[in-house]
Amino acid sequence: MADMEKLYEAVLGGKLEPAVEVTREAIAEGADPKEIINGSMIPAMEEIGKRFQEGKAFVPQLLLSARAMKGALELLKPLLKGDASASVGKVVIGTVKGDLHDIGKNLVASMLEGCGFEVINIGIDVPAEKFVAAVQESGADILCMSALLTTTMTYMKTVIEALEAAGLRDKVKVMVGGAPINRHYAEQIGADGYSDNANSAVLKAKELLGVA
Amino acid sequence: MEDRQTTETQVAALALSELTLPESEIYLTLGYGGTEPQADVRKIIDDVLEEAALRCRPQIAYAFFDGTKTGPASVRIGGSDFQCGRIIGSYLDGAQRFVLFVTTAGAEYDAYLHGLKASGDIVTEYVADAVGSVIAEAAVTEVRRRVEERAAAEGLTVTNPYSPGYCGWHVREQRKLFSLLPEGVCGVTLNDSCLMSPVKSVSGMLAMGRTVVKKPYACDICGMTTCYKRRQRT
Ligand code: B12
Repeated sequence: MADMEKLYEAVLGGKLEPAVEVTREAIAEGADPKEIINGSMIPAMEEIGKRFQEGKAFVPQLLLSARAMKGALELLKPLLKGDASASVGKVVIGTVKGDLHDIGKNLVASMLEGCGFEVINIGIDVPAEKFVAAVQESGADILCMSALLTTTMTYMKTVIEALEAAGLRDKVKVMVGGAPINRHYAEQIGADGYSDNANSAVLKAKELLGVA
Repeated sequence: MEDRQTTETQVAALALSELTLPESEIYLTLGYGGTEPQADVRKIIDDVLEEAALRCRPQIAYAFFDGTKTGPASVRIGGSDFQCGRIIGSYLDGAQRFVLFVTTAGAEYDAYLHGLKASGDIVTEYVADAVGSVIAEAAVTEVRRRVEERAAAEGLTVTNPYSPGYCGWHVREQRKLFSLLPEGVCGVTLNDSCLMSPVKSVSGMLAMGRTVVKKPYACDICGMTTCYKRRQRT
């Protein structure tokens, strides 16, 4: 029998190889993929997230856990094909036009993915049209935008206006973040959510979709 | 007199070994406020530093200018008027000469970061990103060290580095700063939103004078209360 406690510990401890190994065993034994994800992996991600919020774990540990989770998920994905309920929600994420800052956005993307979201990362220097097209094509539940400077964050409003013009604003939640952004600014431009780190970004995304 | 650049721009390509990268700075930039990472993360840091030593080509450029404070929030350097904000302005009393500088971890390091992103290893990507930030800042420390050496010979003190985008000095004033340095200096370019490329780059100013003060880096003058660097440096 695959040791599911070991899978929980592997994801929590950010150990990729053991996480993949136990998952492979469990699959071979015919375990239900959704049970593997919801029973062991998601609780482990929730625990590392909780430790992070409490200041007992740090960003690299969050990412190690997300990496272990993602490695195991890769094995499970083919088994989940066509099962929409397997994903918590669909997210399009990018850094706004004029801005080349990648890492904050990638951290958020990685954590969302690690916590069961389907993430479409459309990169940096993204113009409004591309954000709108990506939301339209994917039918995303949430659009996430990131920016590094006060000069580039203003473009987030442009994107929100473009969503409105395309008739998509009421179909997609908008989350924003990045060093110069704060809650007040997010509200001012009409975003639905803001967070200042990758862990609370996941909590916020779940809250917005009512899956918290 | 006031409008003059007093020396040619000093440009240097450095080996990473010429910079000091304090471990504590790397840990802080990774989000460890005061604690040390566990062994597996330290191993990733060591691997990144090894890789950086091979690939990274940091560059620095700096030039000396005459200048004066023209108001509580403004300063004229090399004939250009900068609105540096009241906070930075208050540290410029008695400044008689100025240094404008650009530092960068270089295009090679940006390429390394892009490669890591493509590999999908988010942990190493994050560590390398933080190390790149520390390199760009260490290059500023090197500029300051060199400037201090010269200033000391003339009996002058040097302030902290101040950068457009901080403390009420608008990030767009980088345009003026760059216009006073040779075009394409250190291979750094500014885009329309005043973002520098390569990303791991810093632009800024140092002031020199007989009476100016060098503060321990002053978080209390920065408005960003949520910054992870804040606690330790106040
Ligand atoms: C490290 C750093 C640097 C490094 C590296 C920068 C880089 N882009 O890689 C160096 C030293 C090179 C640097 C340079 C500069 N910097 Co700087 N820098 C920082 C610092 C300290 C941390 C930024 C960082 O990399 N954090 C780590 C990453 C992982 O975090 P993050 O990107 O913020 O992302 C997290 C959250 O914001 C959030 N998030 C991000 N995106 C999203 C999206 C969504 C949807 C959600 C929900 C959440 C979310 O989750 C992420 C993960 O936890 C910040 C201050 C701060 N504490 O944030 C200033 C800061 C960004 N810098 C600033 C400035 C001004 C500059 C310079 C212009 C200074 C200069 N004149 O040289 C240059 C610009 C560089 C350039 N290329 O143009 C200002 C920007 C404000 C402004 N006026 O626009 C800041 C905010 C500092 C301040 N006190 O004001 N900088």
